[in-house]
Amino acid sequence: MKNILIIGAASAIICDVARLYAQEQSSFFLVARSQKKLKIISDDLIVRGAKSTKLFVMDALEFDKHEEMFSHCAEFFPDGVDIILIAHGSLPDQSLCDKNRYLSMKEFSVNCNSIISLSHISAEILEKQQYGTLAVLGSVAGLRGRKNNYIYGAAKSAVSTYLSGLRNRLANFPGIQILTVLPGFVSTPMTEKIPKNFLFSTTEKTAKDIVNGIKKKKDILYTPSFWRWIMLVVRAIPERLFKRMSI
Amino acid sequence: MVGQTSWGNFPKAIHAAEIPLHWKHHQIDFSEHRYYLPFGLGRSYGDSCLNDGYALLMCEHLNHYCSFDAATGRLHCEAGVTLNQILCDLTPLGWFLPVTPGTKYVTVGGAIANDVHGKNHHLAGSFGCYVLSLHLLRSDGNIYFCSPTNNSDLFAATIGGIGLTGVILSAELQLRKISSVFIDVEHIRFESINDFFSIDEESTERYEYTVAWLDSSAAGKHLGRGIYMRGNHAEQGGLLSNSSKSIAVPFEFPSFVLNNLFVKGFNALYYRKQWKKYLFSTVHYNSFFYPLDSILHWNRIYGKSGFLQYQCVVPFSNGMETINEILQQITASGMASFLTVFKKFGSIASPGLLSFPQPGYTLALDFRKSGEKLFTLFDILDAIVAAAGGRIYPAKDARMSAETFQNSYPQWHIFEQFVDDKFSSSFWRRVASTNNL
Repeated sequence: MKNILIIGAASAIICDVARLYAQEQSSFFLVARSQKKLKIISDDLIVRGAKSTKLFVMDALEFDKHEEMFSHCAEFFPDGVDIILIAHGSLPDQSLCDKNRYLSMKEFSVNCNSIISLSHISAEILEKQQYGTLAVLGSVAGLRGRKNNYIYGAAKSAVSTYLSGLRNRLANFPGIQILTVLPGFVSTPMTEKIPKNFLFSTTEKTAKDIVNGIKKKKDILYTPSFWRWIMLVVRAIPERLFKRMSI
Repeated sequence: MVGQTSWGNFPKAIHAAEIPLHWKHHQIDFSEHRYYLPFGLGRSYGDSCLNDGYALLMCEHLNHYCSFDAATGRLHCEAGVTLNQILCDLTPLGWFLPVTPGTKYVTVGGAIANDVHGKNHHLAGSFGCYVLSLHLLRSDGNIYFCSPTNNSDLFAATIGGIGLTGVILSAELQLRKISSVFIDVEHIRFESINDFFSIDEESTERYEYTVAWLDSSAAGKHLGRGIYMRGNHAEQGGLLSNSSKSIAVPFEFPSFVLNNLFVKGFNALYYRKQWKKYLFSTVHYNSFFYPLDSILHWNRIYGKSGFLQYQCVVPFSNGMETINEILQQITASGMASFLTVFKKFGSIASPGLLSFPQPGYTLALDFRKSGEKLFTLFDILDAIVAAAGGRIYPAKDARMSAETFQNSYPQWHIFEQFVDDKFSSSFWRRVASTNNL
């Protein structure tokens, strides 16, 4: 029975997270760009047990709308919000970004600036409430820049660093959790064009890990957990060597 | 190019593309490929869910519920929702599937497209009887609302239409009320196929679920002996399900494992497992309806070469003689079916135009794919079934001839008019081609 705000509610991973919370009769304030998708997700959550839902259409790049969205959310949840999930993002074609700096900057904005803005307001709310969880979907791609996705990676890296600082700032509030979720490869519409291999996980498994991570008050969650060790190795490779590698 | 096989691992198909559908309102570009076919979880056994050389529309992510009325049991959901998901979410509220096949790992879209049947066919009819309406996307880009009163022709063609009339995006189903997740089951051992008929006679009215397992090792006067299972939803036990854990077959067994000797030995032992002639028990619906689902990937025990199912239905008139003849032919061939299931279909007609069930007896057999001998046996069985006025189940077929199909489904010409120009399947190109005659 939690009050949950989801930004990027159409994200495949977060849909499955929401389904798990719906079984506990939670209430949802759902934010996404598409009204049609919001309606589909809301109907689904209601059948699965959600107590109530409220929909809000917004593009994460509409920075001026962020505060308005949060105030609508506050009206919907007069007794406070328990979990804020920020899940929107886009995985751009790096080769197009390489040819177009404006595209690079736009993608960086979607995957980083908008998240910093939304996290900023979230932190104010949690600090005022003195409790609650902010969970943000990052990516293991943020742990080392690779030629295939370094705009995406750079944005995710900045988000991780920002959240780490925020966590540090709010460490004195025992009721507040700032969770950085670092999924590896997950089969979703976003990764549709990437050939699948054994490293790919499912949205259901990732969702279970996230719900567990929130329950256990984790700071950083690798999902599946073996990515912690893969990335330990990847990060240990000297740059002199790494720059010549194709991974 | 993407490889995909059906549950029987035969035939194998290479697809030009697997196009995932995530949102029911998204447009599909139907100009990229010549033919498309919706694909759910691939639990059809043969080639009706394959589209060799062309494109598949992957429906498993169309898995959102649209609405559920807990007072009336009307469920509206997207076509990729699985029967398993419905059971998990709605049995706690006291609602059950009106008809269920032997696996819960199928999608609603697949259940409609194959107009699946279950152990309650004699009283309830097929899955299609409980489809109140559906939304069908065709290659003209339009979504058709189909029900017994709206686009009723297209509705009838889509139920049992093996995915050829378009993609089912969502459907409204009428669920069945239950007060317990348990089933009261009786197992009765019978000595011959004639005993089956007498037990069945006294059971059909009083038991919602009836089915028999036949011992494929038996011959002579024991031919067609087996265990009759009949059951009803229990009143007691509550609605909180205790889904048991499942195990998985981790890899494909070498093909010598399931040889005829092993299959016969297993069947003979299974028959003797039940010492008493009559056993009563109360079991969870999972173990009653889905015993094989607890072994994930059980199809792997047949090895890389795969296996073939043979399911036919023969009319009541001369039904006993026909079934006897089929069993005798199998015994004479020296081949043994690992799992033989026998059941009486009732007379409730499906709205589906190309539906498989018809009043009579249905027999399902499965054999490891073992070369020409098996295909010869199946051809002999086809002839017996055809002579009796019966037919073969497309969802389980990988080899029937165009002639057999067209003769046993004479309505296929009417059905053909509703097949979308841009939709086809490996099965359809095999059986609907007039060149093959």
